[in-house]
Amino acid sequence: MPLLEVSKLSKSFGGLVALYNFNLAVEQGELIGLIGPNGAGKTTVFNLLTGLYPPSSGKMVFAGKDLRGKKPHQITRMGIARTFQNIRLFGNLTVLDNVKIAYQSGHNYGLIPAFFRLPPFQKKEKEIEEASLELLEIFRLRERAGERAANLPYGEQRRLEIARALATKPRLLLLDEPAAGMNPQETKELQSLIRWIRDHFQLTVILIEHDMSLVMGVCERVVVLDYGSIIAEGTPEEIKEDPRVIEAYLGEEGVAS
Amino acid sequence: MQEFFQQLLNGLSLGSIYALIAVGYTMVYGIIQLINFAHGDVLMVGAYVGLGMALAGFGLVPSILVAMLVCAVLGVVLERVAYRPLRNASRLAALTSAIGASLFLEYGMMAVFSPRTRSYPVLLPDKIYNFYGIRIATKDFLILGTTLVLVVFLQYIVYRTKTGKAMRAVSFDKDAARLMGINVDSTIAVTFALGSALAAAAGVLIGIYFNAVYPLMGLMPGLKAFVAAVLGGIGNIPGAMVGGILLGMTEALVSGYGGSMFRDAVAFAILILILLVKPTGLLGTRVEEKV
Amino acid sequence: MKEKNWFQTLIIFIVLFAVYGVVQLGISENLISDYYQTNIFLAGINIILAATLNLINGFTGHLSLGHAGFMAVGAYTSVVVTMKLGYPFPLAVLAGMVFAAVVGFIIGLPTLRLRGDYLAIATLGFGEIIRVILVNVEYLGGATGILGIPRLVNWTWLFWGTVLTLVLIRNFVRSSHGRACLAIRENEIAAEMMGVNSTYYKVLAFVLGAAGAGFAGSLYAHYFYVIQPSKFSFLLSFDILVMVMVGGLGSLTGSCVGALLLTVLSALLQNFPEFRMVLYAVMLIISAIYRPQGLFGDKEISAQLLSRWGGIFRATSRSE
Repeated sequence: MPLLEVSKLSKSFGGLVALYNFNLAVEQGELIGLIGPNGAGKTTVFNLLTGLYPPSSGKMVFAGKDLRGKKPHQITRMGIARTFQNIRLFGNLTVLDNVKIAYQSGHNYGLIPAFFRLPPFQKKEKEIEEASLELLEIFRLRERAGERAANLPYGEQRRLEIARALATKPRLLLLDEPAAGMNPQETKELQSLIRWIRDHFQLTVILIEHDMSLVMGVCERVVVLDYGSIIAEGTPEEIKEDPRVIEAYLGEEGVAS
Repeated sequence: MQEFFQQLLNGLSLGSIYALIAVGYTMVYGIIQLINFAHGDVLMVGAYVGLGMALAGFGLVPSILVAMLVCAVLGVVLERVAYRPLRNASRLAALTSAIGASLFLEYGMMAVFSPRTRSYPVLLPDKIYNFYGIRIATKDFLILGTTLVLVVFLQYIVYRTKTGKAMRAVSFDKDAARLMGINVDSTIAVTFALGSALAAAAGVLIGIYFNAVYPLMGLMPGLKAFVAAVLGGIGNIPGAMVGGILLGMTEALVSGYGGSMFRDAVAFAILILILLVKPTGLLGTRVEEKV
Repeated sequence: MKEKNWFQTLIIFIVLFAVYGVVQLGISENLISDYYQTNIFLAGINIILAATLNLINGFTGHLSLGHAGFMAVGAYTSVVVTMKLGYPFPLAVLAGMVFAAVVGFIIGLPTLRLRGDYLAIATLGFGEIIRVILVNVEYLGGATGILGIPRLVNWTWLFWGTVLTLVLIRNFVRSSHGRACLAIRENEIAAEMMGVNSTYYKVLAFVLGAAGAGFAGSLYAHYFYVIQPSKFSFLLSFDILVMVMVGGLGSLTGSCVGALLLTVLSALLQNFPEFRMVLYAVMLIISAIYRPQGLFGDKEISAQLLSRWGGIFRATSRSE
């Protein structure tokens, strides 16, 4: 049974069809790239999967459970985490707090222990702090733990977003343009990082990306969206040769010339 | 039954006033997504200006027009001083500034003109007509007539002029509108001017209808008009009118049938209800935040 | 690190007991006049009000304008419990807080579930309705209110009540629950996506804030002998908002300073009420535009901050 099974998923805003009849089956451990021109509906897929928008029609089943009608935080607790195209860190909070917030959803204590600092508070807080620092260590952000997240350089903000997403202990990680704004060197590092976290955390990853070197270098399977529909699907090599993909990216004139 | 229709008519008058105020709220909310807390106080200033004109011996029409003009300017100034610097700030900061503006107008007015309640001189013959047992006063004609004229005028501006087109474009997508060469700042200013002018007209009408002008007179009508705007679907002009009239009628019926103590509570009960049942309002469409 | 914390706590306790003891002595020996006593009590109640409102406005990022209304609910409920039902005062305080919290829940749930920015209007309207209802209910004394309330609150109650409120709020804010509230303030969508149930936490913060206002109300009623609906008008809500804004959204010590500052200002300007409100209005606009973070931002006054101001940089050098 696939980890995630999406069938005939559609979404329209008013008259505008953002996504039409989207089908995708993802096996445990896969690393899938989702590409397509701007406005093709890639982020819409993520927004539907994470419960930010209700779908207009179609089915989404994750680990045997229906995702429709679930609130975003419920979906997160079911094991789907994501990053955002436009970074959405908790800018005025410290780097450490950013991770703690994500980590604590599964490791909480009641209100009374919080108000009076009772033993459960002490114990869990220690646990949350240690685990969060450990995660920051992996992402080489431990020295930054006490800084305001908004003060980090761009590349580190992107890394922190991934670290924060991982703190929710996901089985499926959705990365929305993680390489946007990174230089080639950083992108290369990101490539090995993505592979490494997939193996280390036994994750399944879906990646939206415009940087073709990253997609081709890291993904085992690529799905191409255009105007809300899938126009091609296959290994990176197959996708590179597919005339429909080339047309979608370069336009008809591009093909002709 | 006759009593019922009488209350309905009273509600229609009251509701038209709410509608006039609600339209201003909804226009401003539609264009900058800010609850203009000072809107009710612009109404109060309008009532004072109209009163001043009337006391100086001017007739009804010039009084309303001058009040509208003065408040249009006031609206632009408010936007410039208290709202524009905060356009990219947090929502909370913008709301706080709006509240500050509201307090400033209320207590500034109180400091200058004292908290005393004043009343309009007689501007039109106080006659009551009787249609099959339903009493209609000249006031009611005045209110319904003024509202109708202003609403038609507004519809013309929003849907038939270039400025109106710019307003709709800006409320739809500020950045895209700017790229199309629309001057976003001045479009927002025009929106404030229009909304404030309508509020001023409503202020004069309220002053005449309840025969009372005082510095805090804008508070309750302002709050209720906001509820009317939400009821109709915030950001939606026809919605604000429908919401205003519905609210006015509900309120009149409640107070007419013995619940006068709760007439002020009606609006907020409606607000809570509409948020629970149909948060987008009666005519509103669902707006999803872009992620 | 641990030892330093203990040391700090000890210092704080010594300072607290010193302040408590000195004022207590002043009151028992009649060294502090009634005028100053009144203002000291007002200051304490204002601190509770500002700190609990900050929980909603500053830490969770949603504007509430109904704090005076919740205070009224607490005040009237507690007075009914002590005067009309004859139960002991602690029970009355509890009842006042619980009832204020319940009312807060009824208003907060529908408004916060959807659009946080409607909360401002809903709470402002609610505050006014509370006032209108109080004026019209004969049982509660109508517009004249309730007179002759026994003075059951003394300096001990007020001082330790204020300290307890501050400690509890601080503990809440620095717990996982408080972090969830901060996350919502910073970015609600991201907070949801990190597994934070945003509706639950928004309503929770609002209800806790309302309960705190109810606490302040019951202390107020049982110190000043009299409660009247007009005392709890929206003007009081605005006063509290100004305290929070001036002190800094998200700073508890800021709220204390803001509350003290405004208590002094209102005492000085009590003969010029209109001028006072115009001044507050200007303070609100200016603080929103130029310093939305208030005097202290979300910083707390701490030994570290003070030593930094004193020009001793050893605390900051490690962050370079």
